[in-house]
Formats: sequence, structure tokens, C-alpha cells
Amino acid sequence: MEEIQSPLPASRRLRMRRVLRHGGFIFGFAILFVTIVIAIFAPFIAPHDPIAQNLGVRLLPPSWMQGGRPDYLLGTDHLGRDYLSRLIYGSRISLIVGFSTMLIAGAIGSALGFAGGYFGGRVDDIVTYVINCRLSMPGLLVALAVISLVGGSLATIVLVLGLLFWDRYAVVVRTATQQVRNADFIDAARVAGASAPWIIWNEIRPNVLHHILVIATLEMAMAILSEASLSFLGLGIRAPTPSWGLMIAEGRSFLFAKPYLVWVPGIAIFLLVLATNLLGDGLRDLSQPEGRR
Amino acid sequence: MTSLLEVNNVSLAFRQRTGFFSPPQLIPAVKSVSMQVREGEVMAIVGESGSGKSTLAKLVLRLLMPDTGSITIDGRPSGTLSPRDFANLVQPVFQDPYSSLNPKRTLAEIIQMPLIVRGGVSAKESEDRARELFGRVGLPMRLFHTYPNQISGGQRQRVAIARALMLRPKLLVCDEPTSALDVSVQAQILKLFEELKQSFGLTYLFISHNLAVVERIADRIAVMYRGEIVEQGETKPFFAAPRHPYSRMLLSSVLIPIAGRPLPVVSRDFETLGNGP
Amino acid sequence: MSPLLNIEGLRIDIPGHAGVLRAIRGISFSIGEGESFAIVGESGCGKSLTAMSVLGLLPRSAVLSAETMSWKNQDMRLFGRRQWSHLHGLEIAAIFQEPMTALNPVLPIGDQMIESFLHHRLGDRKAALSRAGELLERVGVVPVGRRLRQYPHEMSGGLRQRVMIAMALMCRPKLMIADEPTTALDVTTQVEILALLKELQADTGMALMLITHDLGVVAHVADRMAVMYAGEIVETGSVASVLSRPAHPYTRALLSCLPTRGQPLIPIPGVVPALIGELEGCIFRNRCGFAMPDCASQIPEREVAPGHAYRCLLARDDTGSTTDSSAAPLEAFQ
Repeated sequence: MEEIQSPLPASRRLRMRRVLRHGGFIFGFAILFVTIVIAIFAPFIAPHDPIAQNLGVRLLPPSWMQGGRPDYLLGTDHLGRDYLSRLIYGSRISLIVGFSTMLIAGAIGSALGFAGGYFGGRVDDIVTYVINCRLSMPGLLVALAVISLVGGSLATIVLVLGLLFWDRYAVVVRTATQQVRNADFIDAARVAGASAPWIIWNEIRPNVLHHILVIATLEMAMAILSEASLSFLGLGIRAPTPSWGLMIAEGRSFLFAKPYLVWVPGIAIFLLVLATNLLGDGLRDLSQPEGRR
Repeated sequence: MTSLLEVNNVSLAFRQRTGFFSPPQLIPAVKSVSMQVREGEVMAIVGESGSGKSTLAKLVLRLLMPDTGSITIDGRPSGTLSPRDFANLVQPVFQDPYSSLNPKRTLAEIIQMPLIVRGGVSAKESEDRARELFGRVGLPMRLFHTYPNQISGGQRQRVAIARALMLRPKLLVCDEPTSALDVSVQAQILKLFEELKQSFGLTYLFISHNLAVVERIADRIAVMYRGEIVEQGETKPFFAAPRHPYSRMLLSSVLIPIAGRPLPVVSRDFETLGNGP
Repeated sequence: MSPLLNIEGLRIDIPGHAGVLRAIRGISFSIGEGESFAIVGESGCGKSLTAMSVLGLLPRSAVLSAETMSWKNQDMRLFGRRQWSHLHGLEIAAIFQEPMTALNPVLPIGDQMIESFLHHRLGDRKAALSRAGELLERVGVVPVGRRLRQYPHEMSGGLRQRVMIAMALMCRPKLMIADEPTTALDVTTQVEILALLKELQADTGMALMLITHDLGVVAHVADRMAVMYAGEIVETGSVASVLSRPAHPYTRALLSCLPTRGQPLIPIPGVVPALIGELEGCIFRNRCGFAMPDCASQIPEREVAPGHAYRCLLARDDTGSTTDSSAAPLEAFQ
């Protein structure tokens, strides 16, 4: 009930300042941005063809170590393929899986969440039941089972992960929708004759979007890790396509002699997942009104 | 005498689920309520919490459906009106200024919402009408594209009123529109209600617990207690001599700012109160 | 007889993004033993902040200064945690507007009521529960045994407020601060709660500091009152005097905009100004129908009658609302 004319609250500039001060957000955003750029411009950045084999230069260490060569900056793998180029092209796989899964799972989960949260009653009973069913399944194991049946490929992974990992979206969107649902402006829209889909899209979605974004970034990190795990187990991307997980799998046999074969892609995965997680945390922090730490 | 709104023997009970397998518990909210509101008048519904007045407002607004009875608006049964026709006739103003505006939308967008939903008007026409109403409700134009969190409670209510007038409705259902406002702001908003009624030829169904406000603004009044209308009639005679014991109790509980008077004695023995004080 | 609470020249500044908010700018009032004092004002005027300062519960960033701020002649400005802790509950107790948020939802009423009693070491648990039961009986929350074991959500608003009052009385405080105690209640329940407060005051001889926006409540409960507007006290005096002969234009405007019988409803135009930066002169002048250029400088205190004072350049006869024949219309200010 503040009738005092408060000075104009956080204007665009103040909000920008807050964003720039958030270390985690900036770091996460930067790394993700760089990775996206690398993935997009891969053909122009990669010094070599990632799948071209050259057995004459196999198992070269990174250039700064003894035996390394400057034209193979990060060394080569057991088939003589340039590791840097594979790493660069591998970013595409990780990002494609991350974003696609995020979109598919996000769409499914949000749709369910909106429906259950807005309509309540029987609809919500069904939605809750579906969510509970999904939650009682061990997601990754199911993914493993399915992929071992249909075979691994980029499309399969994206579909399987997208169709399985929507639960967090559903739960969060459902709760957030329930809260917004009780606001009077929703009733005003109903009286004005708006249909349920209109209301959900135009009145509820904008108020729930920040929740979805936070979940999306965190789920993206999960998806990237899942793909790496699946590929590592041989149930994901198939050779010769460079996937960071696959690179680790292939490098496993040489772990003690040529450890860089494992830690180069390992660090890449670590950085990307860390960045996405920090981005998600940052988004969550920044979407809170100031002072509410 | 044309009735713009007719409520005929309407009842509604809320179903509370007591478990997945047991039948729901029925909690009556509105019991056999009947009343008419004539075009151009201000009909006030007064009552305390639990009286069912807000539920009645929602029934009239078609936010809830009655179990029994019927509601007729402008001669047509409320249930048969299309969403568009209904919106053109009836619009709401709610109590909580902080819940009635979408925080993620600008005031301009909020006000235009009913017209956007109904369609049939160009974007420019819609904005023009919104601007006109914005000024009519006393808001400075520089606030047109700002967000709700930048304006005060009284200003928010003005926005809500402007939104309600976008479709030029005949009936405004106002559920405690000034209860959450400061006294001085309340006076401003009440004055606005009075002016708009004249200019737009509106009819009000005005829900309130504040008898002083009701006395000022209403032509007729209905008192609700525990879901039923216990008394209704013209305002002046009502305030001069309320008949029902509950009405008298309600009226005597109003504290007038004149010093030296003892607190009124509230006697609740006209009906045994089952659920405690 | 020296007053229990004596405040003179209280100032509270709260630093913020856009500058320093001068929330309270030099208010003075005192409350004697057994007295019933009301601070009336609309939201944002600083009345709740004043109550918080008396309880030592201001936000950490707030800066408080005062010429005098004493409780039973002890300087409150020098109080540390121990002294405030001693004061809370034992000397000064408080009840607030929304009992549902003031009461802990996961503890039974009985446990919450005895907390303060035990903290101040007034007796053992048995004695505490006995006193709690006594008080619940007194405020009409019965049957006592059952109620002590109940949770807040199991009771209605009126009952919860009664429990809050009983809780506040546990340690026999000298002063009870009631911040909008009946605003969230139905009018009929409000009358019952106010009657209860008055009875308890008469029984125990404690003083009451009532914070409210409702002049009707003030008229029926308080002996003396202060009208607050935008961080200042603009008028103060006995309730009888202030309500029958209001002097300050804001007080008169406030009374005129109450929708009471037979009087025209005159809203106060404009809004409260932002309280940032240097503020000179009368804070009400941007909304006052009688504002003059001189209002921008120091405003003197004037008296209507002994004990009834207000801050304005004009004499009482000249600050009339439009119901007075001599008045200039406030409408002209639109």
C-alpha cells in the first residue's frame, strides 16, 4: 500500500549494471558464447579435417609438450586425426544436443505444466500422474535401453533425451502457473472472453518465463553431460563423428601413455557444463528482485 | 422498469476434496440469492468475510457457475451469451490493485487487453481508445508505457477501471474496489466512479464491507450473511431504519470519528454462531 | 509525573538507490502511564516506522537520531542488544495487523505464548502455561486446554488476534504497541477486539500506543492522538479536541474525505511527494488548498487549546474545509 511516490525503480541501466556485476553469469555467458561461435564457424577455424586419418602422425602429443608439432596444436588421436579440429567440431554435437533437447523437453514439459497448473481438477490429476510416472523411471537407464535397441545417432539421442528429460520443466511450470492462476488479472482476461490457450500464452507465460529459462540452462547442461556419457558408453554418437564423449572413450585405451587424449575433451565438457550451470544460476539470481538474496 | 441484471434463486456450494476416494465435502457459499439491478443504478452488496458477497460477484461475472438458479443479463440468460457478447455487457474491477494488473505488461497493453481479445478493431484505434480512457481516469500520459510496479495503488485501480471501460460495458461489477486503498485515495477513486457513471451511463454492482462508502455511492443495498441476503432495499430507508438484526449489528459496528462515544455493544445472539468468534 | 516514553525530535533516514529517504523528520510525542495514545496517518506516513523505532527494530541501514528518546528516563539511543531484549515483552509488547504472519504456523499456540515468559525467567514452564491459560480465558479464547494445543491456522482471524493480545500480555508490559490491530478484521469483530483492548487497559493500567489509519477507531479508543503525514506530525492533542476542532489543513482534509453521512466527499488532490533530499517548509503544501509562498520556509507550531498543537502558518479559522463557509475551495487545486 505504498502511496508515497517512490523514485523510478531499477531502470534499464541499473539492471544492466547488476547483470554485469554478476561474475558467474558473465563467465557462463562468455564461455557459452565463445563455444557457439566456435561451433558455427568450425569449418573456418579448424585447421584440419576432423575425420581425415593420417596414420603417419598418430598419437602426437599437444604442441607444447615434447614431440608435439605446431600444426597439430592439441596433438592427434590413435588414427592421426587432429585433436583440435575434432574438439572444435565436437562442440557442434554438444551444443546441438544441448539446445535441441532443451527445446523438445522444454516444449513437452511446459505444455504439461501449463495444462495442469491452469486447469486444475481432473486435467491436473492426469498431468500429475504422468509426471509421477516419469519421475519413477531412472531416466538415463531408460535412455540407454532405448538407444541400445534402436541404435545410436545424433537424432536418436536428441529424441530420446528430449522425450525423457522434461520432468523438471513440468513440475516448475505447473507450480508457477498455479501461483499466477489465482491473480485477478487472469480473471479479468476470462471475463473479457479470452480462451484458455490465449490466457496461458499471453498472460501466464510472461510471468513464468524466467523460471523456464533457468530450468532450460540447467537441463542443457544435463543434456550435454548425458550425451557425453552415452557416447562414452558407445551408445551415442557413432564414430567417426567427433563427439567429446566418444573422444574420451576412444582415448581410454591410451589413458596412461597419452593422458591428453582424455583430459582435453574432458576439460572441454567440464567447462561447457560449468558455464551452462553458472549461466542458469546467474539467471535465477538476476530474475529475483534486488535485495532478495 | 428494465432490470439489467437479474439473479434468480442462485445457489453455489464449494466442493472440497477430502481424499481421492471419498466424496467431496460441500461448503455452501451462496444460498438461494435473488435480486435485481436496474439499469443506471448502483446496487451495493454488503457483508463481512464469509458472507458470500465475493462469490456472488464471481457468479455474476461468470467466473463461477451456479449449482441452481439463473442469472439474466440484459434480458438474456447469462449462460447463453457468447464470450464476446458477455464481455461487451459486463466488466470487473477487483479489490487488490497489486493482483489485478499483469506485472509483465505495460499499462497500455493491460488496458487494451479486452479489445485485443475481442478483436475487430485496428491496433491504432485500440491504442487511441486506450489513451482516451487513460486520460479520462486521471492518469498522466507519461505513464502510458510504464509498468505496474512503477505506479501506486490508487493509480493501479485507475488502470483497472480504464481496462474495464474499454469495451464500453453496461454493467461494472466492482468487488471491494477501494478497500485496499488509503482513505484519501479512496475518496479520489469514489469520485471517479461517480463521474464515470454519469459520462458512460454505467450500472454498478458494488461489493463492499464499508458501510460509509456504500451509503454514499449506492442507490440500493443488499445485506448478505452466511450466503444469504438477509435484507435489501433502498439505501436511505435502510440506513435510517435497518430491519434485520444482523443489519442493525453491522450498522452499529461502524465507528464514526466523533470523540466521546462509547464503543457499540455487539450482540451476536440473534443466531447461534456455529463456528466461533 | 514523568512519561513512560518520551520522544523529541526523532529523525530516521534510510539510504537508498536514488538518495537518502528522509522517512521521519523531527517528530515528538510522549506517552504517560496508563495512557492511550494514537498515531493516525495513511500508508507511507511513517507511523509503523515510528513503532519499530520504539521497539528497536529498525532496518539495519536506517539512521536514527533524536534529541530525546527515553523509556522511563533511560536513554534508548544508548541501548544495546541486552537492554532491547530486556525491553521486549517485559516492558513493551506489540501486536500487529496480520496475526497469521506474526504467529509461527508450525508451533502450537501454547508454545509460542510461553516463549517470552520463559525468556525473561518469570517462572518455570508450569507457571508459564498457567499464566497463558489465565490470559486466554480473559480474552475469550476458550476452551483453554484445547486452544493451547491448537495451531494458528485452526483459528479464525478474530481468535488469532485475541491470542496475539494474550501473548503480548504474558509478561505484564507497561506499554502495548498495537499496529493496525483490527484492520484485517470484520467490522463486528473489530468492535469486539477494541472493547477487549480497552478493558485490558483498564484492568492492568498499561499504556497503549495505537497505530492506525482509521479515525473512527481512534475516536473510540484513544485519549490523545497525533496526526502524521509524510514523516511529520502535523497535529497533536486530545482526541476530543482534535476531532471536534481540527486545525491543520491535512487533518481537516482527511476528515472531509471520509464518506460520512450528510457531508460532501472531497478528495485530497495530488500525491505524497518523494521524501528524498533536502525538504524545507511544509510537506503538505503541494496538496494544500491554502498554500502560500511562505509555506516553503520554516513552519511554526500553533496552539488551538492547551495540549492541542499543529504546524501551520494559518490560524484555525482560516484552514477550514469547504463545509465551512469561510474556506477557500480545495477543488481549485486540481
